[in-house]
Amino acid sequence: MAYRIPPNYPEDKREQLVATLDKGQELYKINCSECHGIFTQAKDHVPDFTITQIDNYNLMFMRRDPRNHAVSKKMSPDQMNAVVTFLKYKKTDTTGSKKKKA
Amino acid sequence: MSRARFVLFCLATALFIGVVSASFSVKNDNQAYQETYTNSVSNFEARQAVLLDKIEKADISSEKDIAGIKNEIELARLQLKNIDFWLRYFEPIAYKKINGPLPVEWENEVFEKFEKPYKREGAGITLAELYLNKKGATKDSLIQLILLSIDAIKIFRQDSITHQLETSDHFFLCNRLYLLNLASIYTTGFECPNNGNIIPELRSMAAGVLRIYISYNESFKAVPLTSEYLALYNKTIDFINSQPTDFARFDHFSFIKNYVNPLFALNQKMIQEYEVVSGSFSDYTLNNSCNSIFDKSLYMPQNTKGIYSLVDDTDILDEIRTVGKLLFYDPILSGNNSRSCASCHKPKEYFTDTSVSTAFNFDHQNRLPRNTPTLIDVVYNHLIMLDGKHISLQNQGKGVMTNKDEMNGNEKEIIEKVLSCKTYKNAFKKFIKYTPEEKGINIDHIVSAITYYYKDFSNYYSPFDDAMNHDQPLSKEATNGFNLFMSKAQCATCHYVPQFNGVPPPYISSEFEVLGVPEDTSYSKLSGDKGRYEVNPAFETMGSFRTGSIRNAQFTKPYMHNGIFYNLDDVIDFYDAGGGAGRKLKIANQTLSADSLKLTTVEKKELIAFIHSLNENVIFEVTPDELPSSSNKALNARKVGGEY
Repeated sequence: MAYRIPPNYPEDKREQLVATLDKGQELYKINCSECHGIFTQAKDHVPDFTITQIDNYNLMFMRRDPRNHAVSKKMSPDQMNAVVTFLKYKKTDTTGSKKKKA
Repeated sequence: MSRARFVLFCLATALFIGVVSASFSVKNDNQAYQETYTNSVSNFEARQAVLLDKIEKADISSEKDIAGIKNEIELARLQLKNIDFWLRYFEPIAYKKINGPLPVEWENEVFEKFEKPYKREGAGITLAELYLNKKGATKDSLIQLILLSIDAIKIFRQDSITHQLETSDHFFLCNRLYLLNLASIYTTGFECPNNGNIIPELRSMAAGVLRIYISYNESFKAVPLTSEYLALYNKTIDFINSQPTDFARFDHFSFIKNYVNPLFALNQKMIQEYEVVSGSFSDYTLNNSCNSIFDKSLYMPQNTKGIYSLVDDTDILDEIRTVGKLLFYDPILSGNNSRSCASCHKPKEYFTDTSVSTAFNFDHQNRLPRNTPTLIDVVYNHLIMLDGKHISLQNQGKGVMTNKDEMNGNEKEIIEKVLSCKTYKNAFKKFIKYTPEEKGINIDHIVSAITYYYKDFSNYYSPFDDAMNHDQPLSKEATNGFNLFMSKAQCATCHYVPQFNGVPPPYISSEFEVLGVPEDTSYSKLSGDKGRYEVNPAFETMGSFRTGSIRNAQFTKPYMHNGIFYNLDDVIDFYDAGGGAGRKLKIANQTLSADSLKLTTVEKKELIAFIHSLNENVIFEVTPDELPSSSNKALNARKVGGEY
């Protein structure tokens, strides 16, 4: 999956960011995609969550709200951080028939 | 439309409107409860207005006028206690402007590791009263403290707060905080500037909260406070009213054991039964299924599994723990293969070192500046290490492993050395299958195994806990000691129930205090250690250190950040004399009162008896016989537990 890293992102931090994004994508695949993503013919589809949706979910996580799935799965803060970063930096999905207007 | 139809249409519409508005005229069930809230807030606002007026008209050089102001402050406090139940929970930050305990506090609970501590400036009635006692108090400053409070109370009328009154969830959460505060701050003088008023305020508040309970039950008939709860609460009021007015003679022990803790258990049951959900950050570490304040599951700040958080398989977790234990004793993690975690955190000495004030520097010649804290009950702290440098146990482990003065390891080398041992290599190759998001074995795999091992030593209970939880007997001396701890000796104003560490309800922050600890027992000068200042530079943090837990204190000598006191008597004498400032050392920001506590010899003995009752029944484990052998023969000379 492609990432959308801003061009002015500091060069020396880029490698670390990509490592976090890879980790986040893997965690998402394992823990979230059963409901929030469909893997069809090697084409990954992760929904384009809005920043508000992502931040709200993250806040629920930080509050350890038991209704939050990452909390009930017992994800660590570092793991959640990787997932959130991944969702924020992934390229918006404009392929496939289920395309949503940005 | 024909005329007849038109008339019929109008009649039908009128009937419809009539029926609909009739159903809206039924009184909203929650209104009575919400009115209780609004009226109580108004009463407090009215008292504050009177207070402000009195200050503005007063001559503050006149003793009579000052007495008048203090009297008015007390009346305002009593009104505030009628709404504390809500205010402290709904918006604790605004509350600090109404009844702040300190002029400046640093918020030390940070929800994201990238955030710096926030500065909170207190205001309001407690500070106004304390300020009045100071020399050179000016009217303007006094007025300012009250104006800030008057401003802050308006927040509690905003509908972002008051809309919570419409549903029942908030009530049990407010109540839980109220009960936790009853056990820890309301009877200790923590938030009351005048000791003589502590118990009278408690009496008034308890009765005020009963009125809140009754009003709630009238409005929320489907999810009420049970009659069992109310019966016990009425007995609690009787108890408080029958106790002495002097908070030093109040029976704090029985109060908590027979009343507050059982009420807490009942409230938790209702939280579960009514499926109460919290939308507040204040509840995030609290456990809804814990049934006693003295159960160790009450709150949990730290993640002890680290990178293995998502691992469920108990067999694999057992293996992780076994590997973690070996690593704990293994000096392979250090730069010279001679120091392990166990070198300073000796597993048979309560995970500290009782033989030295401070451990050796890595160079095996100089000494480190700070005493090794115990790892027992460390999981109940939000900030780790004496200056709170680390937010997680894993970060602390990594920090020490790579610190040039402590273990002087190098991350890459550590991983290589560890994986050169067949036992470790096979183990981690197995574990990494359970962390598929990781590309390779890294330092987090290593340190998380270690934290997962030592966390178990925080699960034990002391005779004091057993007295609270299982009605086990406790000596009169220890009970008296606890009551002193909670009153005259002032210990509980920093060492909070139930962990007796620096984490107050709702257990979301770690506190730091400036005690004025001297460099050595000659008291010739202050310790030069800047403490928390190095992490969060500010006037208030210079020389401040994280409040430690008193649990197991009998066995975790020596004491204070530089380990200068080798017995508890010296520690108590230090506090009794008023810390560094009390001994005339020059220190501008000491948070410990410089006044003598005036403890008698008997009282000091009783305090120590209580401290001994906090010794937990820790089950220590045997030291490993040997460490995993490495393919690098030179590494196989290393000793279990390290050499120094």
